[in-house]
Amino acid sequence: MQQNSVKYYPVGNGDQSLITLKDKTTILTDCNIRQGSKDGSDPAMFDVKKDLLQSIQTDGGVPFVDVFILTHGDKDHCRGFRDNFYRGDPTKYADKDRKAGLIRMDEMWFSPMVAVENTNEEETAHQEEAERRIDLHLKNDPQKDLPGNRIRIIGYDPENRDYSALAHLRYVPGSVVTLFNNKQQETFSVFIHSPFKEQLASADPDDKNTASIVFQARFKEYSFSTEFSNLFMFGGDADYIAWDVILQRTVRYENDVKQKALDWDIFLAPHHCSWTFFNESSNKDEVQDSSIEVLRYRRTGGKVIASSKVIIDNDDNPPCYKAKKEYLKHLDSGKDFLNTDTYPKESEPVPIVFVTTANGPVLSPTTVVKTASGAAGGAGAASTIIKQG
Amino acid sequence: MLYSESFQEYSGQLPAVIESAIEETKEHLSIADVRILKYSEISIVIPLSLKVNLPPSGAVGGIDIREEERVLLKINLNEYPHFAPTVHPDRKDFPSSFLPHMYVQSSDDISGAFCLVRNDFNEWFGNARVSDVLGVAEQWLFKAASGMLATDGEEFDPLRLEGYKGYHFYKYDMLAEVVSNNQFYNDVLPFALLVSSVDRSGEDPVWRTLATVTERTIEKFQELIGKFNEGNSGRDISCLFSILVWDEAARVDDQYATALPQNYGELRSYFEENGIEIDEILRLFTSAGFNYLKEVPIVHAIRRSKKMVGYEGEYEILNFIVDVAENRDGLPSDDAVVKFYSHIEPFSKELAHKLTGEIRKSKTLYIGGGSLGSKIMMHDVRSGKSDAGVVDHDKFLQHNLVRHVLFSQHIGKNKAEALIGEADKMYKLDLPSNFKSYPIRVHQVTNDEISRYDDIVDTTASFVVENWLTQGKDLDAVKISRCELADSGRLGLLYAEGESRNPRIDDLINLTYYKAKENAVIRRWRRNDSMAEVMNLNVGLGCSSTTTVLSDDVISLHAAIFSKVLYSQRERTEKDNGGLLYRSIMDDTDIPSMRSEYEYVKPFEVLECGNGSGWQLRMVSGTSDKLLGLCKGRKKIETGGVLVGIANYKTKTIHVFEIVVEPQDSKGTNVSFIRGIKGLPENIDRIKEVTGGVIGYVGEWHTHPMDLESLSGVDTGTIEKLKVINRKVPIPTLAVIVTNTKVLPFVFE
Repeated sequence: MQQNSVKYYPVGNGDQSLITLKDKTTILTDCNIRQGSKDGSDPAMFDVKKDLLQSIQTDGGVPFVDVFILTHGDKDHCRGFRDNFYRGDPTKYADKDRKAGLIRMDEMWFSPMVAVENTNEEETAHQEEAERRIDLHLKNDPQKDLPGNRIRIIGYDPENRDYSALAHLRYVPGSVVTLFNNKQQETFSVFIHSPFKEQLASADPDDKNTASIVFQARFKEYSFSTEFSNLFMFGGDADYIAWDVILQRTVRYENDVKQKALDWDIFLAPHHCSWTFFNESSNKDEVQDSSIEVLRYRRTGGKVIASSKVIIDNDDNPPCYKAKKEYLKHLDSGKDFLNTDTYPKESEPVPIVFVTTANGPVLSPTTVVKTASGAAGGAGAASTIIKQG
Repeated sequence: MLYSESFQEYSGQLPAVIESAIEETKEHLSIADVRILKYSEISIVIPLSLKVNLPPSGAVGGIDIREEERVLLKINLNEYPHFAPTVHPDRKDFPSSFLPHMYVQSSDDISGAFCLVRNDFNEWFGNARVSDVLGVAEQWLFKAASGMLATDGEEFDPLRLEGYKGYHFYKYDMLAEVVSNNQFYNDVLPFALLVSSVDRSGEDPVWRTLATVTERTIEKFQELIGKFNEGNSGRDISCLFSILVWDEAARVDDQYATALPQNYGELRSYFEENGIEIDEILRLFTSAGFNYLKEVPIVHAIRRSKKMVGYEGEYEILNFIVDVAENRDGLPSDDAVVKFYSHIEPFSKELAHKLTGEIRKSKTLYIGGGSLGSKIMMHDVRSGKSDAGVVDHDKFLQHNLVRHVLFSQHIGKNKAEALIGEADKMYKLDLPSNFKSYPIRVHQVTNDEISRYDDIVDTTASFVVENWLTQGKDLDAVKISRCELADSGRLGLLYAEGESRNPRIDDLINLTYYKAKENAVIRRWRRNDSMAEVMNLNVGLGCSSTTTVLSDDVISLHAAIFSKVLYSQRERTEKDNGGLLYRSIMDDTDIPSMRSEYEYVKPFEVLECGNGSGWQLRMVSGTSDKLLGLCKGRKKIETGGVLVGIANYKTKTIHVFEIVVEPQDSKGTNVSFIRGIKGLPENIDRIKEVTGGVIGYVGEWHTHPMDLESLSGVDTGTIEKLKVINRKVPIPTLAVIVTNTKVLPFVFE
């Protein structure tokens, strides 16, 4: 029987994670598919696209994810979107698209607030595709509910948009989502924390990370279970200001108790282990209380994932060495802090995969046991120049 | 406490291949060195530590799996790498009894091994390395800690037995029913009595259990067993009684036995722990005279909390054989040897259905037990058909070995009897099975016998059988199909009759010939066939002839697809589409390839001849409408032409497949029609050529627009002339009169 799993891809300073449910439903959060990872020539650069295609389902030969969530439009969260995801009328998916391995997003989760000021071509492409779908729904087009045309609006509308007619497609902070790509889940749900109605001040004036979609992915053992056996927190790039608001509002509405919405077993360190989770990036050393409070919601054996480059003791931010040290203070041991680009080893990183169990998420072994009688190298050796005597 | 503590360092020289495996182990685990310990004269063990990822709240279910788990890698010095290295827990307190997918311990020196792969481990290792074994062991431990070891959480995984001595065959469902309903032998003690046999002809004895015995039936069975054993004295097979025990309170026990009893003392303790007083049961067994041999099988059913993987019940059944050769007061001594056996489900309809995913329940009579028929029949039998008959008067001869399912031990035997004998053996413990052989010719099979069957499959390629099927009375309730190979095996033909035997088998066969006009594959066959030296129009597979050149694999290819098509035809529930013409086509011009094509055939139009000749006209669907249309189309002017088809004197049937309209030089009036000849002979010759000389002219047709329904005087005169000509072929003379509303055939021999 297939297990629920959550996979964090090694994509340098960026994010890409894939939730796969027992019924094979897939939820992809962000993408960072670098061109260099696609030819397999550098073992230090994991072939993200190949793995993604192997991890998702196909529908009549068309690879698809059930849900694609873009937490926000910074390039390190949507790199490769244009070249790897199918955009446009899903009925016109052609052979050339299949050959190019374009992935159909059956349902998009789109935050109009996040997209209000798009800053790069990948984000623009994402926004255009979202607006194409929104138009179909606004016009009540008969094809609006086809896989590849489905959309959910996360959060509120900015001033220059009015999607009030699509209230039935909207999830606002505080919502618990159990419907994914029109499939009702009984043991899996998502709690939406942000983005909020108002645009917050940012820890980094050049950034719009406060408008990130932040959510908690929750697994129960049985539909009737009252406890969550596995909780994964996806922080996007939200900074300490956003987290402070998340904390306050969740507690105010008692969702910390009623929904366990702040608890976590696995915490994806916001902004690639940046200091902005703890304070402003302009080197304010003291750690905000609210940030500490968020970390205190860690459950037994909880782990922090830094989806970032190798973290070394220097002034880089992100990833920030000082931030790593701060996280470590709240973990049982160094083994509970995992860095995507060094797992299991820096020279050959592979995705960090957790499978859910009744006792919480457990790291899946990285050993791959071959099932075929022989093995052949990929492009790795063939594309490497070697000198022979 | 570790098992490894009791082993000494190994001091001998290791084979290079094992040295290499050890280096690979060190590299895999990133360790500098390992200890090599002597397990036995032929095996070493290597203590290793495997890292296990545990869930944050510890192993699921509170199982004592640790982050660093000590294991032993056991390598056979003589047989590695042909025998895969096994991985065993090193800790003596490893929670084996709570985990599935572990072999039962067969020695006190070492724990049972992890069961790492589903299939044959040595086979798997043939394509794997020792690092793969360790990788799978790591995953095994990870799954054990995560509660994922049982791949299907809804079912209970059975004990993995190691060191079992042989097999005990019985139907699980039969024993499970006895246990579930507490069907004890009597009210005195909680056990059931089983009738079993043991076959010692092989290397290990094979035990079979057939039925349960009650107090009411015990005397009869005792008598039968006594007689059987007396009659088989000195032979390998003996009959006996076995004991079946279970906890009558039906308590659930999900613990895995980590070691099974090796002697009677241990067996007694084992049963005591399971709430069963085996001493009392054995005493009663012996004193009642139920003990016939030196060994007694004792079968133990354990109730699990879930349905067993691979079975339909929640009882796991273990099989012991106790040595009772020496006993005191009806009990063996404590050190009497106890062996355990693996259960094997006997071959049965149910098992075949389960393993094939098909239910072939129709009752089938196979006419012809030759190479093609034997293969099709065995496909059915292996898929669970246990109601079948074979008709064949022929003997199985040496040359049949080249392409028949039977082997050399059957040489000289009747094919039908040999095939049915093999089928019977397959379902030995599956009562009742209804296999029957008919070592006679098909026409000698009585109607009563035929009425037992739902369908007939003819693979004889025989004219005689075709005619018998065509004329056969009381066959209306039977679905008839025929399979044959043509064109040196390049073409397989399957014909399946339609509802109420229309289209009939001869309709379909003859229509196939006619289709040579439009089908290149059939045309090739018909042309090749007409050029062959053996002049037999109805070419199929005359396998009894040593001159037939055709390989076994080609026949198997066609037989397999025929079997599949026949199955789909028999089990089809939707509305009948008519008859079926199915062709499997092999192209062997380059790399051999196969393809298939099929078409449904609408019921033929059947007309009895008007002059009482006993002949029947069978025309492809739509022919009458065409003729009536031609009559109406010419209004008061007569028209006519010839009919293309085939005539069969044996069945008195004329098939019509094509109407040829009046040639250009024909002339019609209100009262007469002169059928011309322009282009007609060439047309007919061409049809004869492409169909291998089989299909051609069969008669005349002309219209009576004034609706005269009988032959005119002119017609009668013409028929007399035609009769002379047609007798030379020979064919009967057919004249079809077409009025505005009727098609009226007249046949004269």
